[in-house]
Amino acid sequence: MTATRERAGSVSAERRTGSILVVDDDPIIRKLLSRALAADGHKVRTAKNGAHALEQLEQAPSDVVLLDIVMPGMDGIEVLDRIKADPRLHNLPVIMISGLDDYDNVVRCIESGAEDYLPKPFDPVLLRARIAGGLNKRRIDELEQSRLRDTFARFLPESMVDQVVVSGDSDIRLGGVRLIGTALFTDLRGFTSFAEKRAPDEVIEVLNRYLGEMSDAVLDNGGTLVAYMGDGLMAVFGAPIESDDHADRALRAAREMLRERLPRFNEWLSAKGERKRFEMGVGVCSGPMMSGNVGSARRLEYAAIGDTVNTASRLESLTKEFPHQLLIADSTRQLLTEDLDGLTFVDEVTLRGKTTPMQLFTLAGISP
Amino acid sequence: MSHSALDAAAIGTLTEMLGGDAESLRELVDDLVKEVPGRLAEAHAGIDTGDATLTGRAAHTLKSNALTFGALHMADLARQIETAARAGDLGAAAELLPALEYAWADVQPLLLEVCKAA
Repeated sequence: MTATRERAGSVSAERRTGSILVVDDDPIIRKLLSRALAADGHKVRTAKNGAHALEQLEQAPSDVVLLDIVMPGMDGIEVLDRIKADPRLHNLPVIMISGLDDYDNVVRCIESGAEDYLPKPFDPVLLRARIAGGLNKRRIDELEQSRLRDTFARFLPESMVDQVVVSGDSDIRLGGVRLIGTALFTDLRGFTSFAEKRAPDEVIEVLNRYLGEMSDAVLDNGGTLVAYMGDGLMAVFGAPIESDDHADRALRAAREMLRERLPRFNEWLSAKGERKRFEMGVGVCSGPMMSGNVGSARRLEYAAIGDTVNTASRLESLTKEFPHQLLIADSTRQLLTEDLDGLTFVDEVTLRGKTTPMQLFTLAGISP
Repeated sequence: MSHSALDAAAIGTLTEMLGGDAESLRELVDDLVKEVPGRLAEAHAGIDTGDATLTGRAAHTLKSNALTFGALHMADLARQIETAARAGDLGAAAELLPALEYAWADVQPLLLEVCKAA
């Protein structure tokens, strides 16, 4: 016995433990496997049929599932199919338990996404190797998810990161989607000439303070930070995950930027002895856009593309020609789901390259 | 007879799986002794009522349990009954069932003996 245990140890030098769900209709097999796995330090739960197994996984995840194929009611093949069809569970390693004479079903299960199989009667060395293999796969998946989470956390609000990472929808993760959203551009007026007269570390400190304030306004209102462009910032609302209230959230972010964040930034500057008080330009436009990740496998960035996005950028530039720091496209006003205090008509303009004029709005009570 | 009815290596494997815990082995054997009569009754009931699925399922579990405990002859009989039942041949299953019951009658005391020794 000792010799075999040592042999088992060599399969995985550093044996990891995890939580295992054992699914078998036979109480003796359930007890045998749970005692054996518990003796190896694993946390074990058992389910006596397929429906019970899915309930248990709904309540709390496991690291590996040991799943009997032949069960009355919902058999192991159906349970496997359901696990693989569930975006929250499809990465879960499933090891099928089968008789040696059930080769066809084993092949079918492996083709359907089962990690491996464990033949009955059980061999303790094989059991440990299969469990170790399943736990390793689980760990690799977790590392991959955490890498993906880090990538998305840089530009997505925290509440959305898990949704994107867990989502099995590869369109959201990597491909592109066409959706209706709101684009927002900001610019810090006169920063270039301010920067020219100061030391680089001071410039970077001021810029980071400013971008920190504005980024928080975006993320706190559920927006996605697409890019920083010098002292400018681009954000979208309602993308990459669609939402009905993207116009409302974009304008709340714009108001927060101009009414609270910019004054706070200016106060911080004066506390540092700077006399300069900055103004901003903010352009907002809503409509169809394409949203997705662009770049290469080595460097991936989120992007939102389309006329809506270009228009928002041009409205931000246009604020220089108006006594308003914020210009809002009519399309954004039309897509508001709630009344917004202070929405004020500014002018009707025909942007270069456009044939139809566009009504522009701003928010009252946001200027310093 | 006694040696072919129960494969000693299988019991060694079981004990090893349980981390050498003789108490757990005894408990499992107790469970088996309680479970098998019920499964045999299910196999009979399936034959009596023409429910081949019930007989097949009972034989499948008996086969798996017998293999786990190294009762190879018993497992082979259960496998034959399972195959017959799955093919809808309850007549063949009915003919084999008494042999399975005899095989269990041979295995049971041997298992209890092994447990005492463990």
